[in-house]
Amino acid sequence: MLLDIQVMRPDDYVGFTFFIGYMAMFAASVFFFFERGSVDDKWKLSLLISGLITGIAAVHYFYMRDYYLATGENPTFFRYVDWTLTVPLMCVEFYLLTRAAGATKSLLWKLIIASTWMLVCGYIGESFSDGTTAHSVTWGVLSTLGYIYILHAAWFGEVAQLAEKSNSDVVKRGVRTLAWFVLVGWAIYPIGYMCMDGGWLNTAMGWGSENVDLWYNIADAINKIGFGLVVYNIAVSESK
Amino acid sequence: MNRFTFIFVVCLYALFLVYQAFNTITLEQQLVYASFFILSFGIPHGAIDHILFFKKRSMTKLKFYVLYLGLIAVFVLLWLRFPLLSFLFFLILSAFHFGESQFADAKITLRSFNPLLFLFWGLALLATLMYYNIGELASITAYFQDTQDFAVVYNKDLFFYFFISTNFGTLILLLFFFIKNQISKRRFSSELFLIAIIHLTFFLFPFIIGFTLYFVVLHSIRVMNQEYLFLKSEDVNFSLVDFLKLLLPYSFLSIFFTSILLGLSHWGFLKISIPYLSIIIISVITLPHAIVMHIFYKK
Repeated sequence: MLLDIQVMRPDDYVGFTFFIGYMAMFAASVFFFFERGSVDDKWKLSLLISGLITGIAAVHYFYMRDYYLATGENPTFFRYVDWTLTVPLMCVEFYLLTRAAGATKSLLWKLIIASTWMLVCGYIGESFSDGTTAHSVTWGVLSTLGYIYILHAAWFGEVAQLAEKSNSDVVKRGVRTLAWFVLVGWAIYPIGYMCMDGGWLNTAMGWGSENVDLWYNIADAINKIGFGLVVYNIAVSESK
Repeated sequence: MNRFTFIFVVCLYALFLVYQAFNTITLEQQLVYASFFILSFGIPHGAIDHILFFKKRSMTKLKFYVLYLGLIAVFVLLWLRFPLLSFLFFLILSAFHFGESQFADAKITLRSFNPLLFLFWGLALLATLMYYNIGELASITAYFQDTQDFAVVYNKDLFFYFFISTNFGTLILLLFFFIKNQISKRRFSSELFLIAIIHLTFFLFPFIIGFTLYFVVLHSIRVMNQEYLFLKSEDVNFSLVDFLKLLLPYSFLSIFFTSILLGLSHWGFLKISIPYLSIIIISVITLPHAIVMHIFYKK
């Protein structure tokens, strides 16, 4: 086992957040799966998705922390595999919440395509860099377009309008809270992206590339677990 | 988050990527881009003051134009005689105007406290902008002969207290209005988010870029939207194209005269540096505009 031979420094905050992230995601999954039984049938699928999001993340965090400990490098490959699976699932949550108000499959696919686009472009920008700024900026711009689409949908577009149309105040509040996650929580990821070598925060503010994973880990914990807890709160409130 | 904050956030991401690409943008480049956006959006947002005024108040056209242009002339004279005092007056006037436009759509009934909120919100905005960029401001001020007198304003300790007190005061006032049910929970959280994002913008970007972003997106476009919605409420057939047609001639006229003045400074006919002249021009057109908009919002 790699873990048997690795020494963790007390000031290794990246390693610390990898361990915290892994256990938090794992615990959240157990919680969501167990709590599935305590909500109405119509909310079981939403909680299953929440559990899957944190579950998939927990498995990847398990690999990522070992990879980081063994090599000291950013586990970009695992990171993007995790995101490519979990972020579209977050978009599925939006669809499930607004389904009762008339959300269509086309909305679901638009959100999935936008989130996948955002991640694939981000992955190309981060992993296949030829060292030029043009590369990271071009793919950064393309990735941001996907994000802006989801942000708009959650705040003003189809998702927001469907939530307003729904008869439930809990759903309205829930979708609004999830929209805040997209606005504030997802905004943490670009901070990490710009800490890469050659990135603006790296060169202008002196934030080293070791901070990339720190920001990503913080963002993941907030967004994946927080997102799931909002959905859980809606499900419990609506099941009473 | 309203649509203007959304546009602001999108612009912020765009700026992040621009900085990612270029790392630094020179002062000259900043001035060129900022001038383009301020002339394209800032000037038009005050271009139909006379139309808005006559929709709200009855007065002869002659009297209005004499008062409007008279105020400009008086302020120019004030600038020539008391530049520092004029500058401080301009800051306070702008602060109130920015705050008033920010809360124009909030249905606040505690009218006696309104001006306090407007003033504090605007002062906090300007204090934040200046505090985060005080070094840059001081060097720009010191660079030109005729702006050196303003250096006395850029005192780091003084600005620290100004920054803390105005931001703290704004938060207290917002909390007060929230507790008194004058603003909704949603509006309250949106305002806090906006303050946070304004801080982030002013902290990360240079003075000119940060101010331009605020002035164009959160002020000018927002005010133009308020003007358009008002005119549409007066005439249902009034379209966006009609609005643009209304703005264009007055905007071009203002830009034309502004360009002539800046040109005169550039070619040495006016013994005033371009930054100093820009401040004077902006401040003297802000004075009557802020008064007209105050009447517009009040009525």
